Amino acid sequence: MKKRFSITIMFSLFLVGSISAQTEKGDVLIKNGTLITVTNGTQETTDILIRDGKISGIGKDLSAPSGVQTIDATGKFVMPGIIDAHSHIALDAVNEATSPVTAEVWTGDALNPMDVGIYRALAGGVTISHAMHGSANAIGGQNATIKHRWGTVKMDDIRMEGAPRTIKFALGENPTRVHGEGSGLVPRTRMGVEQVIRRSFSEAKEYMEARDEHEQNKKKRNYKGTEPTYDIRKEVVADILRGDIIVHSHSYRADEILMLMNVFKDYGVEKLVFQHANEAFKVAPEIAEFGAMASVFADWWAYKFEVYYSTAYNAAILVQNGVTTSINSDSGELIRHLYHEAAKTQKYGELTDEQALELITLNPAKQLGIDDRVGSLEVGKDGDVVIFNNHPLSIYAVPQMTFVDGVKYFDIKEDEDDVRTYVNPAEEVDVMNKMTEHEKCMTNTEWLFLNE
Amino acid sequence: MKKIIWTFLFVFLVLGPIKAQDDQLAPVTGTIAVTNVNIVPSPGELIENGTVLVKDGLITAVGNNVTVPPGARIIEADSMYLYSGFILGMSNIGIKMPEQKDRPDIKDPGNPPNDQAGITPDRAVNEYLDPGHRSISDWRAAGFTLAQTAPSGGMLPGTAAVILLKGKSIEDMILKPGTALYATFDGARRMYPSNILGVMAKHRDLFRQAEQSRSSRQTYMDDPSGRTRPNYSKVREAYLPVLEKQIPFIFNTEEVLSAQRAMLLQEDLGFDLVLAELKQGWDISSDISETNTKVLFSLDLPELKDKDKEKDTVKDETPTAEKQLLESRREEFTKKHYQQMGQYASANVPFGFSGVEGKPADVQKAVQKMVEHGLSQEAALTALTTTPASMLGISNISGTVESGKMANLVISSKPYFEKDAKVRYVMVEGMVYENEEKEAKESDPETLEKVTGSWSYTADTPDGPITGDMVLEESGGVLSGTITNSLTGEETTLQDLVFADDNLSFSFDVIIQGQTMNVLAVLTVSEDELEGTFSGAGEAYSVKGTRSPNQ
Repeated sequence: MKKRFSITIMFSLFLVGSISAQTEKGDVLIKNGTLITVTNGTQETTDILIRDGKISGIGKDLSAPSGVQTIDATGKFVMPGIIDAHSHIALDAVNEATSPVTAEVWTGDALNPMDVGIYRALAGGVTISHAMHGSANAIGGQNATIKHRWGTVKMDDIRMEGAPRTIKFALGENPTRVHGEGSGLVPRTRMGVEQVIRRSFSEAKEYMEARDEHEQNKKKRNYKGTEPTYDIRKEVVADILRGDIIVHSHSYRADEILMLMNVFKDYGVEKLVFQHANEAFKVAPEIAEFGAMASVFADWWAYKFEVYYSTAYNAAILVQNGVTTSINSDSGELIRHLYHEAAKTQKYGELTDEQALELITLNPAKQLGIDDRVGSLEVGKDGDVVIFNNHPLSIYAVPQMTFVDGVKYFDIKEDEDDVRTYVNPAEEVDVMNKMTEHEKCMTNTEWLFLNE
Repeated sequence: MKKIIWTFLFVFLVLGPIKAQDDQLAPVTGTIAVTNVNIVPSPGELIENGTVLVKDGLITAVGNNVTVPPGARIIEADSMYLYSGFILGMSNIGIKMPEQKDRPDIKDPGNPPNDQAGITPDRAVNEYLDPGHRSISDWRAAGFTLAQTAPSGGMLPGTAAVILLKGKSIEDMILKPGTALYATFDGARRMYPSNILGVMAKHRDLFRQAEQSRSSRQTYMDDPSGRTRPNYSKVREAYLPVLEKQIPFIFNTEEVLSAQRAMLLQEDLGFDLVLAELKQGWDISSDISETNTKVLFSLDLPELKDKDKEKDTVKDETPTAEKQLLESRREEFTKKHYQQMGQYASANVPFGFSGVEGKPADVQKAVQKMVEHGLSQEAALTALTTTPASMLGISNISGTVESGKMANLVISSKPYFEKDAKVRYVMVEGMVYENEEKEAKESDPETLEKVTGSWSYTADTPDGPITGDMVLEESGGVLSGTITNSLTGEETTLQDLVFADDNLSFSFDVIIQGQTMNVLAVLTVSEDELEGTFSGAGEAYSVKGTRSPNQ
């Protein structure tokens, strides 16, 4: 009975559920590689041992315990698994685009562990992605942080157990186009977007206070008050106000970035990551001061009006201003070469190797609240590791093997033509012609723009 | 002995073609004896050359030493096999949903009225049951005597009931109302919840609101003085028996991911769960047994390729190694659909069948293929009789051939699971229905000329008209055809084409945003025009068409 109102408990139930449903953990010793640890420099001719899914040793001349496979990485580069802070792979649905606020929906309900996009991401060295709700709504749905444990049909197997909750917000043209132009509702303008968020926050605050008051009073004698009607949407927004959820906000323009930080200050919300944020370079000191973070493209812009004022120096400017910055894909294609995307910050902004690699490892881990678990090669962290043939920032870099929790899910030497987990008997055999979608941020909104 | 057979043949040959396909014999007497028949009283048992005596809708005696009272109607079922009538765990049998007229203009798609958003758990079977519905006689002809059925359409289409597949009135047919709450993951079109994201959240929201409502009403009833009266809601009211765990939630879950989503909701909310129409269950049997979930497998399974026929079609060129590999994987996965029942039976995970998608005429073949792929005949019969009976809480009424139980029987020309076995008689609560041998499907080419050719059609939907072309062809007395539609622009093949007495019916698939919707067309043809309905996903639209001028 008590769990009825506690979405927190509901989520901890998932947690227990996924822990009890043990995912596979592996053991492996990778010898003599050049270890790019991200937090502790580059170590040449060094071994890394993974036991039961965790890094248990880093050093010279480690020996493999009996039964543990050894991989010779002489002349190769070993780095932590790449993390993509903005992706829509492995999802059966991306947008619940029918309402400007859909905080209650959760991409974790729409996971598709059989999406071949996971395997493609592994082939690009990506071990974790942030499977996000789309950008159709001012407050979109909650996201899922997933581990790329390929080959399973179980949704629970790809959830990253223990990862904090995150939620998608969206500013600017997408929500105003969908709801303002599409349905004739607020928000029709950027002012409206702000108003939708403020209203949602204040309604949730009232709801939360009324609920707390009821909880406090209900045991008192002669209390005759009525419980506020359960509202799953307000429950989630209230959790944002409580600081239980990291907000990831789709944004482009500097003015809307400042706007959202002002709104958050008014409500005391602190956990904030700006997604895309093409104009973030204009307000980098302000973002740093707020303590917000930014997840950007290396050099992708001009695909709609609000994304014209952009620069490939964005990431470097943000980094130099002390903003925790990552480079993301938002694409089933770009996710395959995020290491190239990171390398672009060396051409545009002269970031160091370490800074550039942080953009796709430790920094996205911080943005997802999982940096205590992943994002660098350190003893005690998860055994999520990629082996490259060359330095990952080299244009000749090609991932050779990708491990998640010490289990090898990709090996370029064992790369089968047909990796589908399930085969649909009704599907035509000509799989080569299957279309792949690149940008899925606005998936499930197409119907709004069809001519009647 | 021979005489009897000749009489039989005479009846079939001479009288057969005049009769309707599935005939109800007028009850002259309330007492019926099925004699000299091999009785399978329950799965795994056999009484050879026995007699089953039925009186006033009940089985009164079963065995070898049954005295047939004078005046009883005798069905001489020599060498035939008699089973308890089959029970379908879930279906939309007999349900006729109203035609969707113009959809009211939804001002705020984020907050539509429940009935527009597919949230109608309060809809009951008796409101939509049509005793003359063809599905009733079709499923009965396949051996089914009882079925759970529910309204269709939306994420919460309504409350299910167990019905008898006989009767002239709703009152005759309903055995047990309010047996389950039926749920799907279908989104509402162009309004909240529009897809799996919103539907999952809405299921949680509604369930928790219903729980809250139940407790606040209890508080009010216990001590109303000074309290605000809680409002009544028909939606929340419909949840009550589920909250009390008196009835389960039945989720329509064809795919392995849908099944997991239903179990995810079960884990969050805590209700008794039945997975209906399951097609991909082979990887989740342990989750199912751990969560005490009940399973109803779909009878609409992918076609297993007939090896002999394949040889004829693939003679032109040798397929490449890659294509062979892809084909072999496809075959492997097709087979899994038939092998999983055997796996479940070996793991002692009980299951029955549902008929939301499947066609009654294909059931026997599908079950025989399951048996070919490792399901024992005994387990197959269990899934058709005793398991669904116990799932529906009617084990004491039906499911076995026992004295005192309802006279629901299936009589098959040979053991049901043997090739060429035909269901000859079906008895529902003592009412005997006889299946005649089916005529060959071939029709007179001259009759078919009335429909062959090109047609253009317009279907009126609440979202505006959908138009397209149909092309029908006749070859060797068999109809085939294709259809296009302006919604997806795709051309699809027509299935189950039947044309008789100016009535044309067929079905086809439309794939909208990755979801396959099966549309059933029922049309009447007159000269160069046709008229009728398209129905699918719980909605029906009126259709008109004209013959395209010859070019």
